[in-house]
Amino acid sequence: MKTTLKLLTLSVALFAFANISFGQNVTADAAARIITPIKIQQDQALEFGDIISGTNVVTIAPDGSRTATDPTLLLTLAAGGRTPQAAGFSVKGEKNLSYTVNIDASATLTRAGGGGTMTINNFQHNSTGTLDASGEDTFNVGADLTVGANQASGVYEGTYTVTVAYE
Amino acid sequence: MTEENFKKTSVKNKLTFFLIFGLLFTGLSLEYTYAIDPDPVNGSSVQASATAELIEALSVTEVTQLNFGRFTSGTSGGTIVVANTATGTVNVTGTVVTVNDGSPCSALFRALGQPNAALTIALPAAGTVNLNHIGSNNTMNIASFTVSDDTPTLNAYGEAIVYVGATLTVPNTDIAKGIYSGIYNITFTYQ
Repeated sequence: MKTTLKLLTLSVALFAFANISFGQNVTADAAARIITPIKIQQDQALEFGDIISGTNVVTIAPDGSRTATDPTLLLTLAAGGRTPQAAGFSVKGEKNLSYTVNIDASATLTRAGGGGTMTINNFQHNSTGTLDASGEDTFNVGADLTVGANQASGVYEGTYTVTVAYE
Repeated sequence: MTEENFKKTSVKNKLTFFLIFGLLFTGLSLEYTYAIDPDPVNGSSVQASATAELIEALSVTEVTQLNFGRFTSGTSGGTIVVANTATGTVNVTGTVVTVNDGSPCSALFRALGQPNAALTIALPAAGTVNLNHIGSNNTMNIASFTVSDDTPTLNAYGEAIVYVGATLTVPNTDIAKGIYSGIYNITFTYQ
C-alpha cells in the first residue's frame, strides 16, 4: 500500500508539471500592442506666389520649386510679394510603422471678395510613408494651379484635405 | 471517487480552464491587430490651405509723345536735349537754334498694374533709335534716352507715370528739312 501511494504521488506530480508547462505556452501567445493614434498637422501652407493673369498652369513641386506652362507670367516681386512654397506637414504616431497619404483629387481656390475661382489638382507629396524611431515624419505637398485667360487679379484662397492612416 | 481519479479529473479541469483562458487572450490579440488594419476612418485628416495671388497684367500707355520741337541746324549742327521732367525743358548745343511754336515736350507714360508693386523700366540702348525724314532717307540719331524714374512704384490705385527725355543729334550736314519721326521701345516689368 505504501508503494502504491508513492507511485500515485509521483504520477500526480508529473501531471501537475505538464499542466503548468502547457499553461505558460498559451499565455505567451496572448500578447497585445496598443498603437499610438496617428495624427497630422499642417506646418506651412501651399503658396503659389504672385502670378500675372493669363492662361497658365503653375506647378509647385514638393521641393518648393515653381514652374509654369507660361513662365513669363511668373512673378517674384521685390517688395510686398508672396513667396512660393510647398505645403509642409508633420505626422506623429507609433514608431517605425508605415502609413499612407491620401489627398483630395482637386480643390477650389476662391478670390477674396468674390469674382472668380481657380482649380488646383495633381497633388504630389514626398512622404517616405514610414514613421521614424521617434514616431515622427514630415513631408511636403505640391500641386498644379490652373489660371484662366481672363482671370480676375486678386488673392485666391482655398482648402484641401490630407489624410494619413496606418498601412 | 478514488484519490487518483479525483486528481485526474482536477487536472482535466485545469487543462480546460487554461485552454479557454488562452483562447480568450488570443481573441483579444486579434482584436488589437484588427485595430491597425488599413482603415481611413481611423486615420487622421487635416484641412490644409492653399493660396495664390493673381497680379493684374501691366499695361502701359503713351500719353504724350516725345517731341524735340522745331529748330534749325545751323552751320555745324549739335544736339537737342529734352529733359525727363513734366515741363520737358529743352537745351541745345552747337549751332542748333530752336524755333518758337514747335511745342517740344518730354514723353509721358502711364503704367497700370498691381497696386504698390515696384517696376523696372528699360530704355533703348544709346544710339539705336533713328528719326526718319518723311520723303527722303535722311535720318537723325537719338543719342540717349533718360527716364524720370527707372524703378517706379505703382500707387495704391495701381498707377505710375514717368517722363522720358532724350538727346537728339543734329548732323552738321545740310540735311533735308521737314518732319522726322521714329519709334522706340520702352519696357516696363514688375520687379
